[in-house]
This record gives sequence, structure tokens and C-alpha cells, in this order.
Amino acid sequence: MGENKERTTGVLQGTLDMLVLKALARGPLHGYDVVEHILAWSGDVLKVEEGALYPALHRLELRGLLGSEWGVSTNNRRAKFYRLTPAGRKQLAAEASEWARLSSAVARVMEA
Amino acid sequence: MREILTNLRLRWRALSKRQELERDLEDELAFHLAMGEEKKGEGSRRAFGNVELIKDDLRDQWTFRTVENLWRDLRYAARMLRNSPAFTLVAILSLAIGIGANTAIFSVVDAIVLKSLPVRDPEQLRVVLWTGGLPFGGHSGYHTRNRAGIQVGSSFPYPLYQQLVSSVPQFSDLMGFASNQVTVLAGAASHYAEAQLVSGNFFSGLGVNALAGRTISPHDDRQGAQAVAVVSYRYWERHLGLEPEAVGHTIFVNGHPVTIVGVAQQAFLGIKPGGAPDLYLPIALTEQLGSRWYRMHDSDDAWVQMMGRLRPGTSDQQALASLDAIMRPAAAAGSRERERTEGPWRPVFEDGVGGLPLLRDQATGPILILGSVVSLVLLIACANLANLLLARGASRRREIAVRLSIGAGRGRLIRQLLTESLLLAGVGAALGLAFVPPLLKVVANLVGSGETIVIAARLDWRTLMFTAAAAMVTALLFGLAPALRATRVDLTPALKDGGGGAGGSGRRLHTSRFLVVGQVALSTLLLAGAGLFVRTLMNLSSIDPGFEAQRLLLFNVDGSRSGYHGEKLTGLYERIREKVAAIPGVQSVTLSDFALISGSMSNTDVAVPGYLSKDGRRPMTYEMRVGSRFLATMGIPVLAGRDFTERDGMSAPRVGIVNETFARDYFAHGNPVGQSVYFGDPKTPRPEDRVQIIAVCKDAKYDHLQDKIPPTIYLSYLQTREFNGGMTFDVRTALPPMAIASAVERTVAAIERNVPVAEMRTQEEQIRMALGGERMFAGLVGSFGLIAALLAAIGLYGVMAYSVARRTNEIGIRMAMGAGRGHVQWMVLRESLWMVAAGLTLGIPAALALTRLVREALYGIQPNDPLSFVAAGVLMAVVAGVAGWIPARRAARVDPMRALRCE
Repeated sequence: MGENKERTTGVLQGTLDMLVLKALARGPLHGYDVVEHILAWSGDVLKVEEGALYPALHRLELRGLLGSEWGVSTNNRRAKFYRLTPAGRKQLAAEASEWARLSSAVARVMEA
Repeated sequence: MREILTNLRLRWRALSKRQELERDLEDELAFHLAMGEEKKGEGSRRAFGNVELIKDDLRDQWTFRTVENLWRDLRYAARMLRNSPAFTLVAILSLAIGIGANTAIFSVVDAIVLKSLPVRDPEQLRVVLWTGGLPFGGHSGYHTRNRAGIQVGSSFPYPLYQQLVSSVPQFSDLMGFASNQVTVLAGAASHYAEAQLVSGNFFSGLGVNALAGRTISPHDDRQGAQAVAVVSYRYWERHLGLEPEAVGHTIFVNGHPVTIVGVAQQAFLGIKPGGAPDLYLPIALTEQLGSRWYRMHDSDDAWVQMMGRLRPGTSDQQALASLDAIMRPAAAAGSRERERTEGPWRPVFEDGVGGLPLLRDQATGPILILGSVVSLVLLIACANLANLLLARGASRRREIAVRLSIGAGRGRLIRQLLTESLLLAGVGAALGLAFVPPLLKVVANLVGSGETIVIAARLDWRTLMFTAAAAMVTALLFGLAPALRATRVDLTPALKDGGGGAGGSGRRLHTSRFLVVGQVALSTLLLAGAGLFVRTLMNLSSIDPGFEAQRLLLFNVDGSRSGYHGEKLTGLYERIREKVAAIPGVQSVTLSDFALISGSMSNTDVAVPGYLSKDGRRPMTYEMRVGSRFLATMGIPVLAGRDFTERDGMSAPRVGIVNETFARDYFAHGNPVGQSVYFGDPKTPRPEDRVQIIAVCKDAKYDHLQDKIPPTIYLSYLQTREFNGGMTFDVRTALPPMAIASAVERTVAAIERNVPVAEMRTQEEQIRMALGGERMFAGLVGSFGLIAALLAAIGLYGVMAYSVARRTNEIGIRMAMGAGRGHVQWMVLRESLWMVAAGLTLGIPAALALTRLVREALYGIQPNDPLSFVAAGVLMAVVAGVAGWIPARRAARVDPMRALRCE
């Protein structure tokens, strides 16, 4: 599936879900904007592959962490918008704190 | 949990709106691409990767891929099976027989061995039994061997039971009970019924509730309490029409009014598997109901059986110690003579979780044999199917190769092939369930050895689970190896090749041949076993009973439970005898304690003046109380003297007729006629103990056809003191016996409406019933043996037919080179014969080793009976020979030109 990994850093499988949830924390977005947001917020480092993004979105939706509805995008196209459900918000909080714990631990190890 | 529900709801919605899902997936990805192109121009599509693959991935998330695949596989499998109906038919039928038979045996085993009683915490129950020398005079109950192989008895005197109830602290409840036959008059009709006399704590102790009304309480189990009864669901159904108003009705039990207060739970069939009592009565009613055997206040008569519920946290040892502490003094008070030879009298426990162990013990033998037989049949069916599937796998090599080459995974293909096997096994199992009810009836009769037994064996979920498991295991057993083999294909030659070509099949044929040899061996084993049982049945059927069993009608009457006793009772029986004798078509009528060849017997000590046995004991004789004209009616030839007449009554001297064996054993040197023998206690002789012999008759079989005829004395029932109990009437007819059955019933009803006629049957039926076990064994094992042989033949045919098809080319060359048709035919047939010979070589020694285990079930032959083995071998060889000959003939008809052009 994923053929080109040259330009940007791939996203770890486990963290992708968290990043998607985080991207949606401010409000509903369609898939393309999720990619854009993550890319922008990471300072153009994290480029989410579409081949990984959509399966992740649908997986989260099927787990009840995301809701979705069809709407019209800014350029007047039919687009599917995702939003966090309460369960998704809870999940994001849990994953964020876990991530903070983990990354600071890794950072400490690397600084030692 | 909530997550799963959300998931299912979403997926369900997607599945139900399949087109919408497709459109949404399409639109969503299209939107993404469009956005990309808009912002970054061409080239972004390439970066996106394979759209179709992503869509596949998403679709898989939303749909039930596995289920859908399974469904597709099933439909494909069904199509494949429809395309080869002959194969499918053989497969399904043989599986149906195999799985059905195994299910039937399982449900019987489950009902009498595995299943717990449908009561509260059955694992706390203990059946209280005893071992050692019984210190009491009388014992009514059963003796059996427990698991440790110790001889145990079941019953205790009622006073001892009462003492134990309150003095074993380890038991929360100690239930007492006894079985008794009663006559019930409900409405206008009376009938015999099986009653269970139970202590007041019986239902509460077991934790069995009433379906309607209430159960028997301790309050009912007191002298002077109102007489009540609880009926079983089965009785309620059969005799009371499931009427809810039946509760509160009064029925007459042995002539005494008893109020029905409740109906027991439907699942509760009593505590003896197979027993199924009709009604439960408080044990306090025992004497009031005029029981023939049980005496409530006699400390020397053991008849109450016991089951205790162990309190949680107490041990068997503690409870046994408490029991022993009470039983020891009781034993000391009784006679202690037997203790010296048989050891001290002490309590033992048997698990009560499945009820009384009685039926379990007697059923083990037949069930083991039948279980082995049906497993063998299923195994043969599996081997057969594996074989057929191997052959099919070979002929489908091209199909499989094509599918593999266009990218199907091997695992996927194996799953597909296994789905076919599962479908076959599933359909076979479903069809097999149809065989279960009739087989159950047969097997139930078999384990009950003639006696009617009711087992809770029916198609419940446990049975269905077993069937499903059997089907699954079976499918794997016959399907896995062929599936693995079939998908291990070397693609190039398989694709190039036209049909079922030659490459790579050598090993397959090897496996097939091996399977056929195994099938022949197992079938030979079954056929040899069948031969033994058929011969046993033939031996038993050809036994001369010593009397004329044809045109003899039997029926039972018991007036003692309708208020008749002593001379009033004999008067009733004599009236019935006379009136029945007057029915047109009746030649002569007599009566006896019980029917001949019914398994019932009575024996006693007898003193024969001038005869001394080697050990100084008094000799033993079988006895039977009979009516006038007994010998003439039964057709037992008189050797010397005269038959009984109605004048041999109370006022006449006591007389008896002895059989030849009696005369030969005890009067070796003289004519017994005119001599006297003595019954009763020799220390206190009474005048009525003296019996004068008035005749010697030829030997006739007594209780069992297969037993040696014992010394027997027939006594006039009219001369029995305080005569009591039921009798069997024997009617010699000029017509077919059953033709007068209704006339007999009318006649008896006209004499006494309250005394029912029971068990109307012919003497021949009685004998057939007595041979029921052997008959069914012969029938079942015989049929299974033939089925197995047939399956083996089909397997052999399949392998040889395939082999011939595969070698058409070679055969064509051989014939073109001048080989004769006879030569070719022989070449092919020889291959079959080799397999048969190998099968027989394995099967016969196996059979010789295994049939030894059924020695006890045989009569008149040895387990290595040559005739049975030769017959099995010949039959197997002939059936297999025919199966091998058909492909051989086909081979010989090969047209060399066409065979060669084929390539």
C-alpha cells in the first residue's frame, strides 16, 4: 500500500489514532483537512498517508469514538465531516496523558 | 460492551444499505482527490496510492467479511455438491447413519450415566447403601456391585431409617423411599401404576417443586394424616389428560381413596434413571395401602432405600461414621451369622448426582458394545468420505490450479474445501437426527433388558451440541487431509493437463489404498461381531422351551390390590378361569404366579427323604404355583401321574408335580410319584409343609431360555395359605391368540370391574421379549456390519474406478501391444483383491482379539466361532470383489484406439 515515504516522516501506527482524535478536538473536519491540520501543526513534519488515514477514521467511527455526517465543504462539494463523540473525547484525554508520560520518559532517557 | 453494540449497529446499517455505503466510500475518496488536485495540481493522485485497495480496506471494515465469505463458500459448496449427486448422496447417507447412531447412543449414555438429576445441587446427594453381611431376615431392593467392585445392597428397615433421619448431623436431609406396584382406579377405568413411597422430606430435600398444586410434605407423612399423592408429569399427561383440575381429585389406590395434591415438575423422572414412577405417596401410607412386602414396624425387614443430602463443608467420612454409629447396634440386634462369612455390616456411599446407580450398572455392557460399534461405523464412513474426497480432489486439480494461479490463497482454498466437508457433515447430521428417535427406542429397550424403561433421552440441547460437535470433528476427520492434499498442486503440469491427469497422483492412490484396507479391516471386524450375535439369536430361537409356545394367550390380573384376599381371591381367579374357558375358540385355561420365560423366578429349600446332598444342606428347587390343567394347557408332556384339577384345593392333601430334572436329581433310584417332600422349617414341621408328588412331567424352560432347566416343582395355587398377589392366566386357543383378546377383557370386566387386565400378550411375544436384548443386538450390529461392508465396497469401487480412469492410456497401450481382455481384467481385479486380502489379514486377527470382550453376550458359541468368521470373511470378499470387478470389466472394454487418441 504505502509506496512513498521520502519527504515526510511516517506516523507510528499507535499514535495515528491519537493524532486524528486531537485534530478533531477543535471541531468537525473532513478527511483532507485532518491531514492538513496534522501536517501544519507538526510544522510540516508529520504527513499522514491517505491509505492509513481513511482506514483509521472508519475504524474510530466503528468504535464509536467519532461521529460523522455528510455536509458541504467550503468549495461546495459533498464531503464527509467527522467529529469527536463524548467517548472519543474521553479516549483522547486518556491517550494524551499516556503519551505525555511516555514521551517525557523517553526524553529523560535520551538526556541522561 | 457499548463499543461492540455501536459497532454492530453501524455495521448493520451499512450492510442493509449496501449501495449507500458504496456511494459514500466512493464520494469520500473522490472528494479527497479533488481537494488534492485543486490545491497541489496533478500528481497528487499518484501520491494517493491505489484507490481501489483503500476502498477494499474500508469496505472490509464495514462489512462482515468472514461471514460473507462463509456464505459465499457455502453457496459454492452447495453448487459443487449438486453437481455430483451420487457422491453427495453416498456421503450424506453414510454420515447420517454414522452421526445419527452416535447421537442416539450418546443421548442414552447422557441420560443414564452423565446427566445430573434435575434437582437442587445434585452433587451433594449420596445414595446410602450397605455392604457386608445383612443382619436382617428380609431384603427388598437391589443388590449390585459398586464402582470398587464391592457387592452392595440398597435397603434398610423402616424403624432404622426413622432413627437415622434425626441422628446424622452431616445430612441436611435424609430421604427414604421404596417402589411399589399399585392398582389405581381413576374415574371409571382402573390400571396398574408404579408408585414411589416417599418420606415427607423427599421433595423438599431434593429441591423438586410442584408444577401444579404442592408436593408431599412431612405433614402428610404421618399415621392418620389424610392420604395424598403427587403424580408425575407423565402420568398426568397419560391418565389425567393434563387437566389442571386433576389436582384435588380423589383416586383409588389399591382401593383406598387418595387425594391428588400436585403434579411434579416435568423434568423430574424420579431418582432411578429409567424408573419413572407414576405417583408418589407418603411412605406412612405403606401398610394402609396393603403392601404385599413392606412392614413399617418390623426391624428385621429391610425395604427402605435412602438418599442423603450432605451439608456443605462436611465430608463423606464424617457422615459414614455417624451412620455406622447407629447401624452397628442395629446390626448387633439382628442375626449375625452372615457377618461371619461376608464381613461386618457397614454403610457405603455412592454418588447420587445421577440418581440411583442401578441402571447405570446394568447398562454399561450393552452401551459399551453398541458405542464401539457405532463409532466404528462412523470411522468407516469417514474413511470412505476421505477417499471419495481424495478422488474428487484429484479430478478438481485443474479447477484448483486455476484458482491458485489467479491469486487465491491456499488457506482460502482449504477453507473452501473444508466448507464443503462441513456442509456435507452438517446435512448428514441433520438427516441423522431423524434416525435418532427410532434408534433411541431400540437402545432404551436394550439397556432395560426387556423391562420398560423411561429415559429422559430426547433431542435436547446437550444432544444437539453433541451432534454438532460430532459433525464438526467428522468433517475435519474426512476433509482435512484431502483438502491439504488437493491444494498442494504443482501449477504448470496441472494447468497443461486436460482432465484428471497422471502427474503427482501416485501418493494419493497410496493413501486411498491404505484407507480402503482400513475400511475392509474394520468392516470385517463388524461383520464378524454381527455374525456372532446373529448366531446367538439363532441358537436362542431354536431352543425348545419344553412346552408349546404357539397359540397361547397370556394376561395378568391382580385382585389383591382391589380388596381380595385368601379364598375370596382364589375364588375370583377361578371364576375368571371358568368364564374365559367358556369363550368360543378357547381350548383350555390355566394360571401361574408368573409367565414362563419372563425372567421371574422363585426358589426354595426342600427336604427330600432319602436324599442327602454332598454339603449336607437341603437341596434347592424352583417352584411355581399354578392352576388346574396346567400341564395340559401349556403342553408339557406328563411322564407319569396326573395333572392338577380344581379339586386340589385347601381341603385336599397338598400335591405337587416335579419335572424330570427334579426326579433324576433327588429320586435317583425310585419313582417319585406317591412320595412326599417337605418345605418349611425342619425344626418346627407343620402338616401343610408336606407335599405329595402326583406326577413327573418333562422338563420345560422356566425363567430364561438360555439357562439350564433347574429342578422344578409345580404346586397347586389353590393350596397356598393366605393366598395373595397377582396371577398370569395362560389361555390355549384354537384361533390366533390375539383374536380373543377383547373377549377376554370383556369377560374379566363383567366379573369384576375394578380389576384390570394387564399385559395382554402371546407366549411367543413373551419369549421374543425375553430375547429382546439378543434380537436387537443381532439386528443392530448386523445392520451396521452390512452398512460398513457396503461403505467399504463403495470405497474400493471408487479407488479402482479412479485408478482405471487414470490408467486408460496405459491399458490402451497394453492392449495395443497384444494384452488380452482377460489379462487386463485380471490385472485390475488383482489390485482390488490385494486390498481385500490385506484388509482381511488385518481385520480377522483384530476381530479375534476384540470379540473375546463380548463373550458374556453370546450363547451357544465361542467368541472365535469359525462359522461367523468365515462368513464375515467370505461376505466381505464377495462384496468387495463385486465392487472391484466392475472397474475391472470397464478396463477390459477399453478401446485401445480411443484410449491412445485421448492423449
